[in-house]
Amino acid sequence: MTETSIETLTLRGLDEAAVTAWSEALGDPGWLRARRLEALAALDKLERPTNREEAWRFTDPKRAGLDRHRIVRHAGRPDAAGAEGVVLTPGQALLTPGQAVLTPGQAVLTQGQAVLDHGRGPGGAAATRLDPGGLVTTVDGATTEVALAGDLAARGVILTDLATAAREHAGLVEPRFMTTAAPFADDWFLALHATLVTAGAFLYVPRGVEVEVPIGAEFRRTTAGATFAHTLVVVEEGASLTLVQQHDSPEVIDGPAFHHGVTELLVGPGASVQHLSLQEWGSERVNHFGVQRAEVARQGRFRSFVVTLGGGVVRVSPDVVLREGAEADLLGAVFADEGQKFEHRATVTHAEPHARSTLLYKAGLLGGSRNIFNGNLIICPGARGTDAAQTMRNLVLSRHAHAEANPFLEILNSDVKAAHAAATGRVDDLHLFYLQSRGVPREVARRLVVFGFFEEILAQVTVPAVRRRLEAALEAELAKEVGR
Amino acid sequence: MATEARDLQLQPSPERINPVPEDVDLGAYKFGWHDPVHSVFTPKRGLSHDVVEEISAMKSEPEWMRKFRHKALDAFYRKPMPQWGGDLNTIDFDNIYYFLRATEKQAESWEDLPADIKNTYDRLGIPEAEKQRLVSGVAAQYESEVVYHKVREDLEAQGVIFLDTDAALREREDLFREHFATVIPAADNKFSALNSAVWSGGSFIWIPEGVHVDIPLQAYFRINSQNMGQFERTLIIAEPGSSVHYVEGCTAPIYSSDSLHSAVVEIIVKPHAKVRYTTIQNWSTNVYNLVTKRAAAYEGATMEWIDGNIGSKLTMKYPAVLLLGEHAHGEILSVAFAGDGQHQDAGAKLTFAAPNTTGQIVSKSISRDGGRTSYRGLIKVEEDSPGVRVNVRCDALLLDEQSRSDTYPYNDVKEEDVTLGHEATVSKIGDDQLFYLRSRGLSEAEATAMIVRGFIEPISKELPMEYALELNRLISLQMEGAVG
Repeated sequence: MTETSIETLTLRGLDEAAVTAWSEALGDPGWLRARRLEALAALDKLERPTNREEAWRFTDPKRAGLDRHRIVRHAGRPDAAGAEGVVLTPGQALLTPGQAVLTPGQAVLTQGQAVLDHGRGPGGAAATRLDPGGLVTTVDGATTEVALAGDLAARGVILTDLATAAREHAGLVEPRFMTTAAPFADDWFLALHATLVTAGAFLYVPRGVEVEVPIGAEFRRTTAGATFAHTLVVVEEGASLTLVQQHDSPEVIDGPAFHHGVTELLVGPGASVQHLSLQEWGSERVNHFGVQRAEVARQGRFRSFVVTLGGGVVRVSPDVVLREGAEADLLGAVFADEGQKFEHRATVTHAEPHARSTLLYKAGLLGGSRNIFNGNLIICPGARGTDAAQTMRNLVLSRHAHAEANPFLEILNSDVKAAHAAATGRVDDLHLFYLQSRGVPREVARRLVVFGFFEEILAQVTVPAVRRRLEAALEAELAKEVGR
Repeated sequence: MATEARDLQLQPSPERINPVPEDVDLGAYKFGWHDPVHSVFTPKRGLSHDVVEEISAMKSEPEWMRKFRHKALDAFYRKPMPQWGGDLNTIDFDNIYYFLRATEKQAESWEDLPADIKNTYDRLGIPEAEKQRLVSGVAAQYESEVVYHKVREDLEAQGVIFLDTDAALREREDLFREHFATVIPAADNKFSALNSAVWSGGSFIWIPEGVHVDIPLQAYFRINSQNMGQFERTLIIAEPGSSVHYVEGCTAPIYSSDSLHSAVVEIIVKPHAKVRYTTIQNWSTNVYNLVTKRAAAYEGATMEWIDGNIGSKLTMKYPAVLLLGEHAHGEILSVAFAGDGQHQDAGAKLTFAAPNTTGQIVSKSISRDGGRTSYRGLIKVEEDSPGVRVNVRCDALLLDEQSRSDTYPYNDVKEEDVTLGHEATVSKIGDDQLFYLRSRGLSEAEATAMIVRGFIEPISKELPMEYALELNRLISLQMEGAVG
């Protein structure tokens, strides 16, 4: 790092002057500064949430630690050496192009006694690495790397960091940034986010362009404090895209950290977007609130895949609004261990007729961990011919784990097909008995059953590298259990 | 005003039923509430410590109950109005009568009742039911107090106690005090606090060890006055190995302004006892029905709530069973019907706090003509209660485009060895079902009513015959207007 200037701000010192200075330091164009000040004004009017209200009763908003933490921003530009000197946990950097990942992680796999062998030969490590067609890396609230494959750029795809996008693509960003999918006036955290956001990614896919390779956005934390990072994705009519967001940190971090992420996905008419969000924080000192808002235009298709394995208190809230004939599939795989408290709060709104949606979330819970699934399926008046289903399953693997599954339906129209189901249970003794009677040792049988539980979800991950990676992560988690 | 009240007290009052004992502190009196001239005293609107004092003194209650009421009122003032469920902000607590005495003393026979009250019950068919020995005992509550009470002689001989709650406090104070407010503490929620402060009437039932009451005990609740608040308090204690079925029905006339019904029902089901509590609630559509019902079931005990909600403007009621002993079983069958201007926010709660406890919830709801039904349920499994099995089934039927159905199930599990399933469906009446029935010569209204009856059949079959018929008749009546 050439200039190790870390600028900070505290919530108490948040006023117009401070926000203006913050904005100037970030090099904002005028419109973005104006929006920050608007958001600041909205923030003053909004009530700060407490865990006494329904939306926050499971995760105390105090877990963001905003009164204690400094809000940080590394003074960096793209290509500045922001990530220098960072010791990453092996196996964390799924997205880093051209780097052998998971090398020591392989030890975990072999340690895992090869319960399942998906053809993982000598090239196994490489197979869990993803070579993205483009990547934006944000470290501690500053963008450190932006790369995009030349052929995609030639086809009009834009991938850049948020600051550059605000300046150079204002025509695309200004009308959309925190105005439609995640309007800053919606709630206190969104207003704070719009006021303070320091970095992130902007991704634009023009009409009809099909992006075959996944695009990556990585958010890494290496130091204490609070950061606000944003991802704005615009996919025009008939285009298609797969976006992989990865959140990671080293196993050791110098103090408590909080990451607030907002992802806005605008899926154009007939467009197809797949969004994978991986919460793989190496340290449980990182708390993370992630807001994911998707607006799916008529006949659009959207698939959300949320995977939460790491972090201390993690609250991910995917929120999808469907227009006429649109489709959405929300999938989630969660594995929590001692000391981790996760909440997954999904909302699907059928705003117009003939849309279809499914939700399938599964969690495995070890130690004294906790996971909460909240689903809300809202079918608006006039959304005729709706077809919607929600399923949540918790697999409790420890006597001290705490699982909640709350699948809600709000239906304001009779011409619908809607159903939901939730179940919580443990590993079925009958399944274990069957496997044991075939000579499989009990512990291996148990892991096979857990694997089978997640298979239904894993099978739907269409990016092979991500799938293999999830399988590896799952095996590593289960191997930990054996070590007890 | 205060002086006036004291003056009135000095007048001779030979007809006073509950004379104010000399030792009760009347310092707080400000109103001449116990005007002996009419003995059915002049009602006043509004809620205050004075009103509580009045009620307690009028009933000549022991000091502990007087204190209990005042403490409860403080809790009511302290607790915020719930902001979930239905809209409660329209209740004007100052415009409600908290205590109305309709007759001087409890009648010995139906003939002794004042003519207008007798006519009411005649029209409800209650004396007839008693005459035909369809019931083991009858209680009839009119406004704030029980006006008629009768229990079959053979049950009395076996030691069964079936009293109105006020009489139980007078005549069985020790038994009463031992159990009162042990299942639902005064400060449990805002409306249990209100009830605890101003309660009057209700049933007190004690079934001795091993006694089986084979024919139901019945109670009829009637609100007759405008802006009336009815706050009955029911306490049922089933000693080990006993069984009882209690049935209640509720009605009120229609006025232009609202009435409030806020009951508290506590049930204690001792080891291996069985209690079934059936409610057919048909309040008029200007009654707020905000009721707390909870049972504690000990080892091997069975508690069943059968809850039919047809009437009221807004019902918020979630019958609960706390399963506190091994092999206890809790069951809640609930049917809700919401028409124009009605919101039935009904549901069920099961808390499993002992090993090998089991439970089941079946909820059926029907919304039509702009009505709204909400199922709100909680399944809670505490730590160290292995072997819990519970199943929840919620089905909703929407009859038109204007109506609304919500499902809000909470499933909170802190134990590994649990089998929990929750399923819900929302549907409309199928065109092919209607077509089939109409092709057999049924009118559309008849066909719809038949389908609805089939939909709620799992619950209506559990009702005593005359109630099942009544429920079907009510639904047919509701349906008559439903089909143009």
